[in-house]
Amino acid sequence: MFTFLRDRRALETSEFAVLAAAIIVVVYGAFKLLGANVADIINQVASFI
Amino acid sequence: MILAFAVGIWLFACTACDIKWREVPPSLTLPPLFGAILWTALTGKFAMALFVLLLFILADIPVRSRGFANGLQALIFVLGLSTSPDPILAGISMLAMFVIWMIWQLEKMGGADAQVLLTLLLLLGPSILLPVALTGGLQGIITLLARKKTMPFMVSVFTGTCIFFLMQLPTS
Repeated sequence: MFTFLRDRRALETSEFAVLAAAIIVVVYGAFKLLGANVADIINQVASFI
Repeated sequence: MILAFAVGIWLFACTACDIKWREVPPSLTLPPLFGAILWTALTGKFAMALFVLLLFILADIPVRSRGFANGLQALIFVLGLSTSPDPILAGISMLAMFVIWMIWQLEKMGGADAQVLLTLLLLLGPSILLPVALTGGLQGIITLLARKKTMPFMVSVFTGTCIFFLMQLPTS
């Protein structure tokens, strides 16, 4: 029970850290470029719900 | 300022444990995590707090019988989007939390790292992930050059958070 909370390991795979950084940079760049349009869509969906 | 100092001291202690034992004791990670969840709920973001709590339980449900739990998770996500005064921030935060949990589930990140990242995400918002991920990438490259497979990620979390706080300082 509560496997997530009992896990005390603090190691990350090096390759994955590099990959995650690259993905975050791409996502951040895309959001900066398309941010206004994405924000409009999310606001429309939220108000529709 | 007080929050920055408190977070800095806490992360320094976590980093010291990570470097020494490659582990962080739950006494250092869980009280801040539950404090952050409580603070999130008290500031009106109930759906987001519920979303994190459900992630803890989701890890113990076998993949085959996760249908209902996943449905509930999606429902809370939509609820969080619709009830939040800032749906974009809420949506990005919940997606980031799920991604962190998934990385842990795939065994690419330790549980203590994931718990600390979730705490920072709840306290400081999703923008904290950018400096942490960038310093993590840099640490990853250095570790790969040293021909090592794993690295103490808490070092990047601490450095990235310090950079985040330094960027918040007024420039004048």
